[in-house]
Amino acid sequence: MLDNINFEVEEDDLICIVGPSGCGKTTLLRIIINLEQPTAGKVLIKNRPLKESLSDLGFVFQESALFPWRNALENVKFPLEIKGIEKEKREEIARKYLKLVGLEGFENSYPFELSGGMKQRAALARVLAKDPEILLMDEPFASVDAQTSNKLQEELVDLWQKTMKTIIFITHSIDEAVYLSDKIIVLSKGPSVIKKVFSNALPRPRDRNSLEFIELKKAVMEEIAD
Amino acid sequence: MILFHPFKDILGIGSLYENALISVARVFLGFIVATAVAIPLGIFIGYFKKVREFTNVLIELIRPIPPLAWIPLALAWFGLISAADLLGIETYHPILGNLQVSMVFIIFIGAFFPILLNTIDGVKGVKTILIETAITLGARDKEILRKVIIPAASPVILTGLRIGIGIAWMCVVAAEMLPGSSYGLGYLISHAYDIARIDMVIAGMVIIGLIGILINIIIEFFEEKKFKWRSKNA
Repeated sequence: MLDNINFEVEEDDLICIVGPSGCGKTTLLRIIINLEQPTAGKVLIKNRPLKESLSDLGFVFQESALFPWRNALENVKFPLEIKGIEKEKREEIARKYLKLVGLEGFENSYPFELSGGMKQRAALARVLAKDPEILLMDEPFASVDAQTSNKLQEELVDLWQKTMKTIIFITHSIDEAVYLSDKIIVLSKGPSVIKKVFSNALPRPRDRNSLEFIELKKAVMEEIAD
Repeated sequence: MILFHPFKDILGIGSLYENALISVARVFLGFIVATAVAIPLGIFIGYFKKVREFTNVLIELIRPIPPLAWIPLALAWFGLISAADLLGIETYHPILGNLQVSMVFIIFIGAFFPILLNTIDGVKGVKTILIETAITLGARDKEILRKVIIPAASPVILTGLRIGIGIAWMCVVAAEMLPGSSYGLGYLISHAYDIARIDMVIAGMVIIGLIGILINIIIEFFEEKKFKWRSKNA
């Protein structure tokens, strides 16, 4: 599926990986978080092997993976329980992150009571509570309507600038990739290799209708279509 | 009408109330033991694929045997030993002396398989994405079992308990109708039939039905309160 993939990610970068369906974007991300094993090659986090650095990584799935039996607050508390943080602190930290993603007031809501966008926000709050340095996101806004998606993208950039994390973000949407990233990695059809890496130095906040934005989009789309 | 005098003794075999109590006690005991064995076992089997493959044949072999078919074997193994005997109580005890091991065993068999199979199913059916999420959030195996798999499987397990106790209740009544038993609603009904007191038969049946419904209501109430996330969640 993946043929020969070699790349580096700088600290605090927000990079996007794009490519045709089935080219292995999700597989790549899953390898980075150790949910799947590569047949060859390895992942190094700050030059240390992956297995030692798992606590530095966080993952956001495409569909809401919130635990349905826990309300929003309890979901966010989950990684804190794992870390062994004391009860009062857990409450405090969880509330903080829910507020950060704009879900203040919804602490006691259960996933089935939340909209798609809200669920993904809660999932984000939950992974942020783990406080990973590197965030891996697998098309997290794909199952949400376009308007909400755009809003979530803005909020993500805002969050990223506030928390200074490294983010690797997979998307099908070139618009999303150009809006978010410092760097866009384009994968070829499977078995995939890296076709091209685009640098994105557009100043933030980005205007989706600006000439430069649209030109970059075009360039990326042409590269994928090739 | 007997129903209006549930505490009045009927022909020397105790009142409607007393016999109902005996039946309920038998079911309760058998059900508790079945739950205590089936749930941990079900979790173990559901969790390990290899174990599932190994035990599958055995379970499928024994499961279709109707609980009541175990009666001859139960009598052969346990005879008329009661809970009182097991606890070393010499004199007659109204409740413990009537909790025959053989009868509790039949109830155990009746409740055991639904609970076991539902528990296995529930554990097996936990969505992979939930387990993977827990892994990426730093949870290790024990924590995943405790914090993800068991809560996720709980609604299905509860359904198993509901089915199990329903079958257990039917088993006790049927088992009590067989020769050699004493006390209990099933016994009351067959005894009443023998002496042509159909009003007592019907009274007994009504009580049996009512207790069955009551058990169901209790479990459904519990389901509604704690598991409302289940029905709404795809």
